[in-house]
Parts: sequence; C-alpha cells; structure tokens
Amino acid sequence: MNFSPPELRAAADAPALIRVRNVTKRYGANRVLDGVNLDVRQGEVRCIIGPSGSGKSTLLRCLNALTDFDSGAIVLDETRVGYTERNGVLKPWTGREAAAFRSRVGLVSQHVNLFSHRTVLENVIEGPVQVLGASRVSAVRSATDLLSRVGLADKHDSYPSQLSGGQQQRAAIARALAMNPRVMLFDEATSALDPELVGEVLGVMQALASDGMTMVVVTHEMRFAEEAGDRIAVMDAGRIIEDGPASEVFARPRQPRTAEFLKDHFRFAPAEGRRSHA
Amino acid sequence: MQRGLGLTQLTLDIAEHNAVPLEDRPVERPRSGHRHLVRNGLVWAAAVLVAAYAASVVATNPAMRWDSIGKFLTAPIILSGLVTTLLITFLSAVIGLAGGLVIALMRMSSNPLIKTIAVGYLGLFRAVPLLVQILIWYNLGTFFPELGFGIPFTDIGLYGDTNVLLSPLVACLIAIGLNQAAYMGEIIRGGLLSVQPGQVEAAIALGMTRAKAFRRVIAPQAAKSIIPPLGNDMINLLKATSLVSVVGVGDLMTRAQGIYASNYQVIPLLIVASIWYLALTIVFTFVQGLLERRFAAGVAR
Ligand SMILES: Nc1ncnc2c1ncn2[C@@H]1O[C@H](COP(=O)(O)OP(=O)(O)OP(=O)(O)O)[C@@H](O)[C@H]1O
Ligand SMILES: [Mg+2]
Repeated sequence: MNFSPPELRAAADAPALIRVRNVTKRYGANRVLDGVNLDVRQGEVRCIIGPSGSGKSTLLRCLNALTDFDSGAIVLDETRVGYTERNGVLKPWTGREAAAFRSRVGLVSQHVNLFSHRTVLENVIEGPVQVLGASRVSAVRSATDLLSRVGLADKHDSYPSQLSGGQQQRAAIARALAMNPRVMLFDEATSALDPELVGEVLGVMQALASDGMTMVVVTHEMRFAEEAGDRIAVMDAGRIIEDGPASEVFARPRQPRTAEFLKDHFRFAPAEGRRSHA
Repeated sequence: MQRGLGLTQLTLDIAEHNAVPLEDRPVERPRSGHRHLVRNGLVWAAAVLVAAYAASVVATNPAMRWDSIGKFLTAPIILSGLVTTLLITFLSAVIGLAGGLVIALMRMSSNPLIKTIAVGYLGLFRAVPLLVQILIWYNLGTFFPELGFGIPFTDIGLYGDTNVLLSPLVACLIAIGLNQAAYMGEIIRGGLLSVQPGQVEAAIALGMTRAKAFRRVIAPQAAKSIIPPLGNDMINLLKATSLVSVVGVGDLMTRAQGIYASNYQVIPLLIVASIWYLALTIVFTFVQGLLERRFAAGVAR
C-alpha cells in the first residue's frame, strides 16, 4: 500500500511537524489539559495512551481545532492553530480559516460518523468535491483507488447502515485520506468494534504508518502501540506523565502510575511473557 | 371400567407425547389463510353494503342536484377560487417555511434573549385561533390608520394608508404565514434535533464551514424526519385557507358561498368545494410520498 507521496517521509531528526507547548484547557473547574507539551515528527506514529478521562480526546480535538484551548500554543505544519498573522499580529481565525485548516488534518474517531444519507463512495468524494473543489471525476478516481486499498472495492454503492462496524471504520479512514491530509488523528478508532473486527482496521492503520503518514493515535490497543508506535506519550489527569520510545515505555516505565496503567492493560503476563503470547 | 381404560390411554398418550423432544414436535403453521379470506370477505361485503346504501340515499335525494354539481365543479368562478386557494396555500407555505426556519434556529440558540423571543412567538401564535388572527390583520386599519417604516418618535419615514397596504389578500397571507411559521418552526426544530451531533462534527472535521455542513449534512438528514409532519401540516394549511372566506378574499370557499347565497343549493356547492379539497389533498399526499422516498436514502433496509 502507498498512501502518501515519498516527500512526506522524513528522517527522524526532522523538525517536529506538530509542536504542542504548555497547552491548558478547563471545563469549569475541571483542568482537562494541564500544561501539555508534545512533539510529533513528520512520518512518525505517535501513540497516546492513558486512563479514561485523562484528556486524550480533548488533546486530539485541540490539534484539529475542533475544540479551543485556554492557553499555550499548538503549531501544526507551520500553522499556529487558531491564529493567522495579519500585519505582524496574530489574529483569531475566522470560521472559514478554521475550516480550511481542518481540511488538512484527518480525524477518525471512535464513533464512526460516516454520513448516513450517502453511499460509501459519496462519503469519500464529499470532502474533495465540496471542500477542496476537486472535480467529481477526479474525486471518484482517487476514491476508487482509496477504497480498494482499504479493502472496500465492492462496497462503493452501499449505505453505511449496510456495512459492518469494521467496514464502516475503514470507509471513514478512506474518507479522511481522500483529503490528502498532512496528519491523521485517530481517537480510539477500534474501541467501538467487536474484537474480531479490530484487526482489519488496525491492519489498515499499520499499512498507513509503514507508508510514512504522520499519525497521532489515541488507543487502548497496547499491542498496536507497541508494534506500530514510534514514541508513546502516557497521559494522566491532563498531563503527559511519561514520553519516550515505545520499547522503553513498555519495558521500563519510569512512573509508578504508568506501570499501574500498563499492568491493567496487559492483564495476562509481564512484559517478557507477553511477547510469546503475541 | 371403560372410563378407567380411557383415562389410562390418555395418560399413556401424554407420556408418549412428552417423550418427543420439544424441537422435534410438529407445529401448526399458518395455513394459506382460509379463515383470513372469509373474514376479509365479510368485512368487504359489509363495507360495500354500507357505501351502497349511503350512496343511494344521497343520489336519490331530490335536493342533491347532480347536474349542478357537475356544472359548478368546473365553472370559471369556482376555478378562479381554486387558483386563489392554491396561491394563498403556496405563499403562506413559503412564508411559513422561511419564518419557521428562523424561529427554529432562534429557539435552538444559546442566547437566552433570542430563545425567549422564539418561545414567546410560538406561544402567542399557536394560542390565538387562526380565524381571530385573520380578523385582526384584516381590521388593522381601524387601529393603525397608517403603516410604514420610520424613525421612532419622529415624522421621518415612509408611511402609507393601512387599508391600501393591507389588502384583504395581503392581510390573510400575513396572518396565515405567521401562524404557519409557528407550526413549521416546531416541525423543523424536531427535524434538526433528530440529526446526530456526530454527523455534524464529522462534516466540520472534514473542513466544511458551518453553512456548508448545514446544507450538505444537516438539512438533508433533517428533511427525512421533517417531511411526514410537514406533509400533514401542508394539508392542514390547505384546508385552513378556507377561513379567509370570512373576509371575502375570493378563494374556493368564498366562491362556493357566493354562489349558494344566490341559488340556495348549499349542499351541492359545499360538495363541489369538498371534491376540490379532496383532489388537492390527494395530490399533496402523493407529493409527500415522492419526497419521502427521495430522502429515505441510507435508512436501514
Ligand atoms: N464538552 C465537555 N464539557 C465538559 N467536560 C468535558 C467535555 N469534554 C470532555 N470533558 C471532560 O474532560 C475530561 C477529559 O475528557 P476526554 O474525553 O479528553 O478524556 P479521554 O482521555 O479521551 O477519555 P476516554 O479514554 O474515556 O475517551 C473528562 O473529565 C471529561 O468529563
Ligand atoms: Mg476519548
């Protein structure tokens, strides 16, 4: 599979494509993001794990400007999220500017939200035609290509309600990819799926990763984080409490909180025994 | 003895029957519907009998004047009334839809003042009978002799004679249109609420502006649940236009009344009007069915 052009693949020492600096966000008195710092390099698969309610989804939504934050800064692909420079001053985005930014960032969320009144093919061409102004013919051509890559070549004319959960989620990935995004964000893309459907979606994500797409993946699938993830950030109570290469975080967690979380998620065996299970 | 034997036999039968596992016992399948056929036949026969009797009573009534029903059904004056009825229905539906959308969006606004205005509007226009509203707009000239735009508390502005500006037709259009806006507002709001928030968020995440997400995702999905109650409402609207006959706008009902006031054939002319209302309702229902099918895409089949 080849999802992204080669110029997107970059060396590990390239400057970070996404830079999150000291971002905070509250809902009322609840500090949901409490000074988050995070770097995502180009071509990297950046996994975020952590207990429920720790702020993972909120962070992802900030990256896509779906949610605004109170302080700090996010830079994505040399765009300061939320602001445009005019006459040397950073001014808040208009609705149109925010929309244009979101079109460059793909999001696949836990609850599959394919447009229920459109077929799979119509779902995939909707963004390119309506947002990017592509011609219908060329949009259909690339959609056909994308759909066969996610294994849905025979489902063009199906409505979402006629697909299994795994097929819907793969179509949602194709819909996001059709926008030719700089970054793909995944928010627990498999956690609403039946266990036997998880594999097919993770397979598509893995292919995308090995193809050089920059990905931020919030997941409860520790196996995926371990095998496909380059670096892993562990979130707890709105903070990133541990951050490092996947192999290190899993083998030698430095924080007791991380060790505890990992223990809950690998209930069967300690790290060494786990590999033989896999 | 005989009795005892029978009892033993029965007990044996039951024992044998129970020995067959539940999944292997024969079941009674609904037969090709003999009984249904008989029952349906009886219902149909009764219905035809009643209908035939009613028809004969009406048809043989000397006051019925079938000839005049036939004559007036397509009389130019009745047809012009029909056109006026359709015109009022169409224009008030347009006012109602546009106003209803505004009211629905205001009602869903997070601004409490805007929301309160919408709630007040709904309360007022749904509480006062439409007949009263028509009469108020029609008689507005007796209350405000002049209407227009201008700067409050000054004489600067554009004003005109209320009775000229508010011809009976315009008064009726405003009355029915504003009343419709209240009802359609609630129907539209229900439709908008039926769209799942995730669908809107997916559109926004894809890079659509709010306006585009409304046009491409919210509106078509809301339409699916709006059309059935809207069709109902349009039929109510069609019939409600007959109320304008109280101010003599010249709709179908006004025309029928005008004719029977001079020839005293009350029932035949009311039947003429009924036939036209029935025909229009059938057309509306047909269009509603078409639209429902058009927007049904994606419903689990
Ligand atoms: N719209 C909102 N209004 C108020 N509070 C919110 C809102 N969205 C999220 N929160 C709160 O923010 C906190 C973090 O939520 P978030 O969804 O980011 O957690 P998460 O790490 O993604 O959890 P999960 O693993 O369960 O998905 C939670 O305490 C949640 O209740
Ligand atoms: Mg979450």
